[in-house]
Parts: sequence; C-alpha cells; structure tokens
Amino acid sequence: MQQTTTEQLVIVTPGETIMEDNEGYLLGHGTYLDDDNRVVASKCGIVERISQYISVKPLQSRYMPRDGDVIVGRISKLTHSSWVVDINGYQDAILRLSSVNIATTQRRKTYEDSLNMRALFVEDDVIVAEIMDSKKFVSLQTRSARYGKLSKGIFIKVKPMLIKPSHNRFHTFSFGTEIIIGANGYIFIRQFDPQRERVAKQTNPFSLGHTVKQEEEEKKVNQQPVVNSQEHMINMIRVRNAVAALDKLLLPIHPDTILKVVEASRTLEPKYMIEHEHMLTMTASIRS
Amino acid sequence: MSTEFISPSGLRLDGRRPHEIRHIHFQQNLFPKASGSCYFEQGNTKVIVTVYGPREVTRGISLMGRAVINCEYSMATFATGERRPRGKGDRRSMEISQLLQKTLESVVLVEKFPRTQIDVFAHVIQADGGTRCACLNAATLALMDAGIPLKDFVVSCAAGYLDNTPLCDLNFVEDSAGGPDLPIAYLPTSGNVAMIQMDSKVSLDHFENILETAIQGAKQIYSILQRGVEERVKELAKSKGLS
Repeated sequence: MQQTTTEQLVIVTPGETIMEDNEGYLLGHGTYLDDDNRVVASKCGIVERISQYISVKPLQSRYMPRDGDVIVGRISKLTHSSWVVDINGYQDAILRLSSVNIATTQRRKTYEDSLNMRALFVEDDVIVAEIMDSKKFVSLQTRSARYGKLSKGIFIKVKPMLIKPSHNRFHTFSFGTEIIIGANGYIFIRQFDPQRERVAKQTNPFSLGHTVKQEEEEKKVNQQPVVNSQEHMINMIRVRNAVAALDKLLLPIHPDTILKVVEASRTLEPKYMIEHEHMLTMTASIRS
Repeated sequence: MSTEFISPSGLRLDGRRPHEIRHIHFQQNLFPKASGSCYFEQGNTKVIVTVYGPREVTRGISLMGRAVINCEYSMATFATGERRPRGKGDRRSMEISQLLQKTLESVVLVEKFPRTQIDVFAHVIQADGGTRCACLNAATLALMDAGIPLKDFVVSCAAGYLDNTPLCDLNFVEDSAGGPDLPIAYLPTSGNVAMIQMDSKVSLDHFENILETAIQGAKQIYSILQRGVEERVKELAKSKGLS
C-alpha cells in the first residue's frame, strides 16, 4: 500500500494499511483492525502516532466528546427528567435534572422541580456545561455557578478541530468582552459582568445548604437588565467577526489569535471585517 | 443497417478505446450545511451526492449498536434528453436507492455510531449512462468528506459487450444498444466485488471477460479518486499550517 509523505506527514486514505501488525498498539479514531490483524485506515487524514497509540486525524470532523470538556450547547428538547442538548457531536447530550444546581444549591430534586424544569431552561436556550460522562450517552452537568444559561450575547459555530485543548474556556478581553470557547466548536460572546463574576466566585458549588443572602444576590443579578452600550456591542461584533475570519481561514481559535485579529481590525468598520481581502490582511500576522 | 459501435480502427462512438474509462472530475465539500458532499462527473454524467450525519434518528427506528443508512436517489427533470417530471417514488429510483444503501452498508463502519442515522442523497443532474456507478463513486467521496469511517473505497464501473468486444464504462448510447450492461461495485484494497448487476443476457464464455473489464475500469477509477483525495488532504494540511 502506498503512503505519501509531505514533510514527515503520512497521509492515508480508507483501505490503506498503516501497520502490518497491531502488536501492542492501541487503535484510536480513524483506524480499524482487519481480519489479518493489520491496522488499516478508515478515514482520510494524517497518521498520528503518540508512543503506542495510533490514530488518523481527519481534517474535518465532528466534535468527539471527552470527559471534563467544557462545552456550549443548545437545548433541543425536554423530557420528564432531563434536557436534551445539541453539542455539535454525532449525538445529542443529556443534561439530567439531578446534574443542575437550582438557586445555587445542590439538593435532591423533588417532584415539583421536575414539573418546573421550564423555569430553568427551555428549548433553544444556550447553555455552558461540563461533560460528565461520555461512555454510552454523553451527559452534562452544570454544578458550578459559572455554568448555566447564557444570554444577551452572540453565538457562533466554528470547526471543532480549530479549538485547542485548554484549561480555561472563559476568557475576558481587556476591552470588556467575555468569550466562552466551548471545546465542541460552539462559542458564546457576551459583555463581561463583574457582578456576575462576584456571585460566581462567592457561591461555593459544594455547599450543602444555602443562605438567604446568596439567593437574594443571585436574584438581583438575574433581574438587573443588562444594558449593552453601543461601544460594548461593537466590541462584541468585532470579536465575533474575528472568530468567523479565523474559522474561514482554518486558523487556530484561541484568545491570543482572536486578540491579534481584533487589534488588526481597529481601523476597519466591523461590517467590513467579513470581506475576504480584509480577512486575509487581518490574519496576516497569524498565517505567517 | 446496424450502428457501428466500434469503428474499424478500434475507436468507440466517443473516441475512446474499449478499455478506456471516461474523463473523471470531482469536487468535495460544496455545501457547508451538509456533513459531506461531492460533485462528480464521469464523462457527461454529472451527479451531486450529499451526506448528513451521523445524527439523531428523525424517521424510522434507531438501531441499538449501529447506525442506520438511508439512501435516496433522484434524477433532475432536465437530466435526460427529454424533460420529464419525475417523482422520487418511481420504481427505478427506488431500486437504485436500495442498491446504494446495500452497497454502502458493506463499507461504512456502522458499529461506531449506535442509535444514529446517516442520510445519503444522490441527485443526477445530467444522465449519460452509468448514473448508478457515478452515484456510488460520488457517495464514497461524500462519506469521506463527512469524516465517516469506511473500511475501503467503493468504486463503481459498468461494462458491456458490443460488436464482439467487451467495453468499459458505457455511455447512454452504448447502454441503450441492447447489449449486456454489467455495473459492479469494487472494493480495491480487498479486491472484493461488493455489488454486481446485469441487464440483458450474456453467455458464460463472455461473462468472465466482461466482469474483468469492469474490474479493470474500477481500478482505474480508484487510482484517480485516491490521488484526488490525497491531494486534498495535503492542501488542507498545508493551509492549516501543519509541519
């Protein structure tokens, strides 16, 4: 079987043999074992070998969920005890009622709670959550005060492969825009709210009870009308267009690269950022 | 007076030699909304195949342990010489839809996606013989574009027998000449034939020859498709800045 190389890259197509014998190797995505114990590629892409682990990295694929990933999702429907969430994967994920915190507390959910699910999230709501378990069903949890419903911002979808693994998915730029880069390619951009941050820091997700004071604070934060001034909105739009440009040109999407593009775009009006020539000039420093 | 399908100098009606396949051109990833897609030309036959999924099952039952593959084949009204309004439910379309589904089942690694469905839509926009072959080739490329794991390529080519010669990759005129038409689907790495159909009758002595002609044609198509797909991976890797 032929394998072509481009500067040490081994490119394979489905059916090509990667290894004659699978002795001791762990097979990852994009490979399979045929009847003669050969490791064969099942996707087009580049062979990745990390010590004993072999996989084929395709250049375009859906998001593969992993435990602990923080993702942004959209509620697709409700069942009697859970929400079904679209996370840009092969299957929708499940957010069980038992995996959310109601009013910053962690307690056994009662029958009334299951009747009141709509008070928390309804269809089409955008949420940020963490993947709890991705073995059989992908299940999510929103037990931290940082997780939960996202609103008053801009949602944008990019290719999951452009998002690098990172510990912190919440990033705030110096000009006041907060961006949540979900590992699954869904991104939410909103105005940074110091009040909300304070409440999030104060509330301890592992506390068994709750104090009346915390609940009141939470209510205050949610009820305050978030006024996005025009300057804030223009900044959010700049960030959104920067992300769109990086996605179009297949560049890594990371707060550093986004910041570079936004800075390079300061001379343009935001609406011109999405034109192709401007995209190329703005991203010149990253592409070199 | 019967039409001559092979001239005295050994050329067919479109100037090809008996074992030559038609010119192939393809382009993947045309539709951003589809998981994968491919525009495929085999001579004058032009098809577009789009693939959606694997995704949540929307119609029919979901199977525990594997994905369901749904295929739909349809011809545009302007695809043939005469404009003819066609529904998707006519017998020929349904037969070819089933054919696509059964053939693709032999290569798609469906166990990797339990309780999901993969939709394959094949649209013929210009028909000049060998539409089911073009659709199978395009479907393989579209599935690859969607990142769906396959055991192997599925390459498809038809062969026939006219003027005492086995002919590879028949066009419409040669197909309607009344001779045998043998489309096959071939898995290049294993060398297995995944699908074989035959129109008209053929004597046993000629059958092996015609089958071999079709397999040779499929092998030629495989090298073209494989090269094209590799080129695309190289280009994408370059644009992504991988070293």
